[in-house]
Amino acid sequence: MRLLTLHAVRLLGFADTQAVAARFSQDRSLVESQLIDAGVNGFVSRSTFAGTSGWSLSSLGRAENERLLAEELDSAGARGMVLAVHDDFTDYNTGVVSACSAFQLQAPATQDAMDILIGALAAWRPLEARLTGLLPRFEGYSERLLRALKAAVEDPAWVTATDRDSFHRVWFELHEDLISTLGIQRNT
Amino acid sequence: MTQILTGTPASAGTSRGPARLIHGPDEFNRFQSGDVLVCRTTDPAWTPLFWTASAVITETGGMLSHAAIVAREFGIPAVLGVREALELLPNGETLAVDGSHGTVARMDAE
Repeated sequence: MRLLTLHAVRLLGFADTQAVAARFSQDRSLVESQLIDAGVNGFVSRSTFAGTSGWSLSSLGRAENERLLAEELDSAGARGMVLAVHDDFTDYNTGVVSACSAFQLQAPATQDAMDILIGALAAWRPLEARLTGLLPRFEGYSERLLRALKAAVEDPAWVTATDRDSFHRVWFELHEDLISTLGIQRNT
Repeated sequence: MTQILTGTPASAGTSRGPARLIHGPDEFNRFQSGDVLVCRTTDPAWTPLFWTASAVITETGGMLSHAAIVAREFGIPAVLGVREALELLPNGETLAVDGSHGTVARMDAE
């Protein structure tokens, strides 16, 4: 379970114990114990930014996270499949980032931008189903993206806001999940 | 004469602040409110730095990158794709960042 705890910190970036536990529906006290162990090993640190305290991964923790992810990938025999899903994701990522930018830079955003996000979610759903067949921890992105899209109909902030589970925040997390699982470097 | 670096204008606005070169999460605690974040790229772990940054400069990415979207959300200027920014910009030097035109002026450079 240490993989899920370290990986939750990686995906959330900076989060308190409750949020780390909730990311993969783990027991809070177990996660707290694992985070303390991880802190002793230099994998995570606790800090305060702008009055908010949380855990973040150190460079050592990032390397340990990637070691555990590589083990998981190989034992599941999932490397080829995740590579193929990542390639498909990359095709849609350009459109999603472009549509998110359109929401920020054009007021009001065009229906085209919303259509791109709807199309990206429709394309992602079968990819998530393929992933979760071998790596169940990928479950949940489609539901979160759908919730954000529905909320964005009433309030467009749900497309790109950083203070909620917005479409872009979930998509950014998904991108991080795919590249960290494959151990590749981010270029965007 | 003021030295100017250029990149992609990714989040509009202008701002001044000291350059803070951050190579990874182990250096996050060096970041101070009002600093200009200078880094190679960003991922979700870097978002808290945007809360207090006066501007963002990255070596990779462009108008359509995650960092651009996050910078716009925080309303801070961002110039992305500045080649060798981590090599060319010294820590602590005052920078004037123009996220509308994609320029970074080194105000202390001779």
